[in-house]
Amino acid sequence: MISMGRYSVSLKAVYVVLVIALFGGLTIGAIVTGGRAEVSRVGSLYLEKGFEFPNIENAVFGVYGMYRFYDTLFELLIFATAVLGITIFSDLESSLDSEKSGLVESHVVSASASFLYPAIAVFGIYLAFSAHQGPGGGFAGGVIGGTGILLLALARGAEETGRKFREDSMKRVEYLVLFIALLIVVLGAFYPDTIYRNLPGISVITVVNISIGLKVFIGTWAILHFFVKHRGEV
Amino acid sequence: MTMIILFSVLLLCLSVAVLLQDRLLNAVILLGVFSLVSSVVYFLIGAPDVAVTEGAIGVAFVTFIYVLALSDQGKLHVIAEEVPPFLFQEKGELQGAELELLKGFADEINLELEVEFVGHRDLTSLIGGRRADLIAGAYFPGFLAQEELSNSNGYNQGQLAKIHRPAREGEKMGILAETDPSSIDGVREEGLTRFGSLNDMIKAYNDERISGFVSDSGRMSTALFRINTPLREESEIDTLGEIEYGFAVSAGEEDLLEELDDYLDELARSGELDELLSGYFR
Amino acid sequence: MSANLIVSAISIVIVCVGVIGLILKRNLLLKLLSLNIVNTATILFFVLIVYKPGDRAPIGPVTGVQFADPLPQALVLTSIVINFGVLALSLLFTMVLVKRYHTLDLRKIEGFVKREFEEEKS
Repeated sequence: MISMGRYSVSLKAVYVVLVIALFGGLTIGAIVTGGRAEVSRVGSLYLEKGFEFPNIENAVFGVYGMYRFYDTLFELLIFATAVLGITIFSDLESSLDSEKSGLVESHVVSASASFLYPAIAVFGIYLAFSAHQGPGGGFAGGVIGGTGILLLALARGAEETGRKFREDSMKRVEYLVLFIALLIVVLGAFYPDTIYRNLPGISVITVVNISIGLKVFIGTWAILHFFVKHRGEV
Repeated sequence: MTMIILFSVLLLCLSVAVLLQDRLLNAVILLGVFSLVSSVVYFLIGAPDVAVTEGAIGVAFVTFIYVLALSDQGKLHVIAEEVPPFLFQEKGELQGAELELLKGFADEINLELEVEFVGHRDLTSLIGGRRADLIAGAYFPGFLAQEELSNSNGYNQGQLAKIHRPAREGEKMGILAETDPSSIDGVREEGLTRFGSLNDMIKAYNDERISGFVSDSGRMSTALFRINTPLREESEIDTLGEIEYGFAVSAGEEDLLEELDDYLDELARSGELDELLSGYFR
Repeated sequence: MSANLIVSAISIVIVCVGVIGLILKRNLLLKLLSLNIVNTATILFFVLIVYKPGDRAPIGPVTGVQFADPLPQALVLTSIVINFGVLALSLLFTMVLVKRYHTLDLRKIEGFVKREFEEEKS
């Protein structure tokens, strides 16, 4: 409690008033000065140049998959660190009894999971691979694939699903994918023509799509597996 | 364009509603709806990539992770001294009058019961270090140091009893560690030896190292079986006072204490408590 | 007043609501939920500030059509994924804390931790 003379007020109330004043000032300032409702210079540059690549029709993919792939590489790195943290905790945490591994007793889920998950997985793969021609992208595709696998894990138990999808190899593939992304960035700085235009046999677009999609998929499966195995007591 | 403004106002109302909820589950579902409406806004703006990503992650994934973290039932962690017939273990199974009481209470507040038997000395430190919620096992006010504990209402009457044989010079009485002797008449601190467990105290009495000991009637009845027969014939048992058996919780846990007291009162009023106790205590 | 200013002002107000919730609530999980609201509203602000009515999605090499700005969209995509990764980690720590202290109240947990620290020092 802060007190001045006869009045005393709790510290939290002071904080709340300060926050309201700050954001209110921001809002009013934004309205009064007026923002430009036009595409920025850099944005319009991406709109022009992004379509110069062969086969790219999604300008947003041009930004995060081509011109600013460096940002995407570091985002994958941060995501890998978060997943690494969860994986380490998953090994350290005293695991609960194995009776809890089967979550759902409902027959609807277990019956429908077997034929639903291929559809979800295919949709996720489609989204990841067609990032350059329509909305979607590797991030959404990977998460949707992970959610499809989650449906299977709910029906059959997390341990069994993890074994069936060969979780140990998946962890190594994760770091391999990160390495490939790094390769693209480094080699692309020195040999831009070869990598970005004349790569033999495969286009760099495909490699970018695969790397982002696979990485996010494996990461979300790792997170989900941990949360299903150690359901909390909150 | 008006659609976008309307949806943004809906977002604002949703965000305020999330913070006003009582139950955590409701708040999490509302957050999922918040993500869904913002995904719609992204689509109307002309950002389909962001809409798909926000929909996949914010709606499905985040809600699912929160629900998984909330899903397990919490545990009511009870620590107790093993005292038949209050709370004891036979062939790996827990039994006793207090077990039925605690099970009913745990069901009432929607938690899972977990009972751990510990030594006398560990009881206070475990509650103080917040590793356990409740103390049971023939507990009565005065049994342990009272600083960090709050006592519940009692559920059964008992007596404090003293057993002794004709004392020789310089011999002391036994008492269980941390029991407050000032609540007992006729016993002074200097004449006491403190023991860590009931069994040690009984053994010391059998070995004639102490002239007697003070204990509550519940423990006394178990102790009587373990005292050697000739010694038992020689001993006298005096009643020192009335006590009430109850439970104890950590000092800051008023909510738990209130629920426990309400539960015990309800049982006493409906007569179920007497039925339960008569099954165990004649 | 142009449309993008109204909606971006609304999203700033949502951020404000989230921050107030973060300060006022004592329950750990509700604090996490408020943080989530702050994150979502911030990235909403990023995309809304360059909105002009009649935007089309920036897909397809059709010229002469008014496109939405692709730059903030791309930046926001990575931000969504990172937010979700951080949320998973913080939920993990919340679960560990709750298992240890059996309560979700932040002030009580702080009290216990402080007491343990003082007991260790002495």
